[in-house]
Amino acid sequence: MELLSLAKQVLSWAQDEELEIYLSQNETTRIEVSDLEVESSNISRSEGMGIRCLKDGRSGFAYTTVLTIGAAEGALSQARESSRFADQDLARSLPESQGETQVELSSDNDSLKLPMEEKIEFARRIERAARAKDSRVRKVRQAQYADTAYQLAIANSKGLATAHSGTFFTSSILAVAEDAGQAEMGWSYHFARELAKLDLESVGSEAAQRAVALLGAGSVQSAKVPVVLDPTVAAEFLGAFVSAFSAESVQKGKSLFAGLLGQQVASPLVTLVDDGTYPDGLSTAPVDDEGVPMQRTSVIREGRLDSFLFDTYTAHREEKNSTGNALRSSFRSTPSPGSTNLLISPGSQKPQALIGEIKQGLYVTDVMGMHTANPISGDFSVGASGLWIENGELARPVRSIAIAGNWRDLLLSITAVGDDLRWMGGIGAPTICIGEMSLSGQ
Amino acid sequence: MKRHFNEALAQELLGALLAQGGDFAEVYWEHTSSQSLFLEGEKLERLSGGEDLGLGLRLVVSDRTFYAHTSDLEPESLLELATRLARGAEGKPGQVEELLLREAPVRFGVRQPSSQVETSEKAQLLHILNQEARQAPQVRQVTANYGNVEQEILVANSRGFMAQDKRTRVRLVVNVIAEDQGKIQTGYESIGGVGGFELVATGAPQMAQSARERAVMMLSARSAPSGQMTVVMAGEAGGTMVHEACGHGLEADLVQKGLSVYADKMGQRVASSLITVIDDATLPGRYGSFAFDDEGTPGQRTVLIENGILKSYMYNLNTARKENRESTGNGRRDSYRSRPIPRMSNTYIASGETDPEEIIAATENGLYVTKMGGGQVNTTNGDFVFEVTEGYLLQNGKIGAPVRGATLIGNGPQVLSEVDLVGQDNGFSLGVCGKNGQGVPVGDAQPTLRIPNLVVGGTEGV
Repeated sequence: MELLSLAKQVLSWAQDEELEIYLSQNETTRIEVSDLEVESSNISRSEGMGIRCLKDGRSGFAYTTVLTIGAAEGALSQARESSRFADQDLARSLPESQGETQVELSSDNDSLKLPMEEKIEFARRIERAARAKDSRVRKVRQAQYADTAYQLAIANSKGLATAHSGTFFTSSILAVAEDAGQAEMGWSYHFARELAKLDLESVGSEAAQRAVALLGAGSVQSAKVPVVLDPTVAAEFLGAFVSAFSAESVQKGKSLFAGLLGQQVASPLVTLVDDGTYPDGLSTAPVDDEGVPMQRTSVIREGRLDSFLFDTYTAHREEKNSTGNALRSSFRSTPSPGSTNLLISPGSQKPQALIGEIKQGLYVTDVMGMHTANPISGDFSVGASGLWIENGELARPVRSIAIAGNWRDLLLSITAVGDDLRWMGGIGAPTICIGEMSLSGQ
Repeated sequence: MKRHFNEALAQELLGALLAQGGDFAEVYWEHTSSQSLFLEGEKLERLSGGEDLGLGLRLVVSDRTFYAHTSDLEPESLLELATRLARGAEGKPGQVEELLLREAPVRFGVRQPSSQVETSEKAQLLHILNQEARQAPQVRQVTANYGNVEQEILVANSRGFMAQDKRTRVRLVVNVIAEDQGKIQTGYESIGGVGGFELVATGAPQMAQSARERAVMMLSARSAPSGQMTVVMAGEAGGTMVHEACGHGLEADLVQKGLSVYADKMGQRVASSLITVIDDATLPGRYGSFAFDDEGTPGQRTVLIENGILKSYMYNLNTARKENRESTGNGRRDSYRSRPIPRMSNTYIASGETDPEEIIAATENGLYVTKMGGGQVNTTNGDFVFEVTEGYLLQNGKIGAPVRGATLIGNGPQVLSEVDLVGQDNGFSLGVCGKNGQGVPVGDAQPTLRIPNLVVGGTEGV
């Protein structure tokens, strides 16, 4: 593999230091359709390398998008230069060799080669389905189809050399429904590693349904009520607080779960698993972003805190093993612990049954401002829209309200977990019901 | 001229893009180098640097945009990519005007280029932040970041426009984590802008102090109230509200698609007559400033709302072309990886006439906001949220007890119409704005404002 040979070349320059080379390459085609016309078609080719240099517990890093010997030399000297200024930390180290591996994950390279016209048609199918679902769907912001082929290689001076490649496909849409001078938006998204498994029509119709459901929405009185989060919202919440399960956050006093291993941190209905081996998961890979094999880690088992997520460095600090959770946002950054495919295990209740048990409450289908949630304190306060529950029925749409609380309290007050697990990228969640939450409205 | 790139190659690529016809072609070359330092746990633990070099190609054929980017800058592969894009058009070759380099309308002075400052001096800033921030027993952790970016661009299009720009930005951030009896609160501050090291060289002690004081104060603060109330926003609180309440809704792409509550409202009243909103890329030193936008149009000052009347949307070349008008210089992209779309630069509400202290004194009860965080908007229905990271209760015209962070939710046109007092002051904040997956640096500001009715998303009964 070409990437690995470049990596090995760089490693051959190692002096009395540890080196790690991370290389990635991908090509994405993305089509955006609006009013059934192609608005844009994009071809993007991205590649780059990141070099980590470790000497006497001092770590430096540099990256470049130019994959040539000359650029690699420049990046290496920059990484060395940076490491001179870093403070010493003897726990810093690179993972041991697992031998040389090359893996191709379930790939659908044939579909990548389909003619542009066919790919455009996929995006149109998403939009048509949205419009067909309800005549009040008048516009779409974007119906989008995208496919990506990626390759990754990681090698370090301890002899580790690993490469893997794969494909994924995504469909998404933002649909707008209009009625009586009011406009509301609904969205949906799906991904798959093979084109044949990618939802198109159902993505369109779900977005339409979400938009139409909100037409005529109004506010409600402030109250403390049971709140049901649909799977997309539950996943968004989980995503906002993932860092609380990172060993790095714990070791640095930035996790609200620090010191609580083995204790009850959530309702007994909650089981949270990080699984880098989950079949066809978005983050599924043979190894994490520093080359350690991915695994399945139980984070919360029936409400009890089981484990945090470790990379090599944080594991060393506690004389533990990495859980294969070293992640990087791209070749431009150094690895740190994060989740791979993180899921709340589904329960046995149908979402309708779960809603049916609530006398008065809120069913949330969308939140706004989730990025303002504070993963360190656990506090959140977000805009919400959805449907008001009256005597177990979805009675009327609501918006312009806010829900607020603390992540720890939320986990402890979960009263029901649905059977409808759904993946939003690398985070999976079913419908969940929270016993009581503060709702701010009129 | 530029490493790996020159005018002749640009001209050749534009020709290749228009080989099968089309209305517009563009080549965007970018070289960005950056350095960042990160301190946590009293240790300078992450130092990194890097360079990002690449090219974006754009072809517009009536309403269709074809875009490609690559970091492989070999002329043959660039021509191959341009030829692949050109297949989107079907017709006679389009015309490429002779390229003429434009002069920058404004120049932002850089007194002390960050690239020439020793790494040890940058590291020293982080140690100052760390020491200053730890001057309270409740502080458990301090994270401090320093980053500087130097971006060179060259953009050339088939109308013969060519522009070169060099932008340097610097940013210093501190986050203080305080704990008391198991409760954790945080305090965050950032400074920086378009320019050199001088923008951050002296501000560290003061920002660390305010972040620390906020984190510690929030430990004893009560929960924010829940429900509808009068809100006074201090000028020093930043400008997240204007950015969300009307900024995004005035971006021409959303307007043209009918996805904005401000669509079809040109010349109409959309806000109180006290409200004038301006987007200005030419302000010196601000985080959202630029000499040229990412399509080579000079940055400019655009009055969006004047005394409550909608005067202009924000356009890039593509959206301007659809209305047969000029771009307002708001075509921006996060890098060569993305096509340019209409974006804000520095957006602010112009100062009014009332003394900020009078606004407080005139407000019997409500919430006084002194620091805003992030926000979001649904441009379709106009609902927006913004985060309050420091706030106080207002009681009988006086500033009362501090309250914890909460999100405030309102509806853009409604809130802007209801503003009844506007202060003489103004205070800028900086941030990274996200849209369609692209992040760009922006500045925003507001004077002290009073809004009679906003929903405060706290947890305490009113």
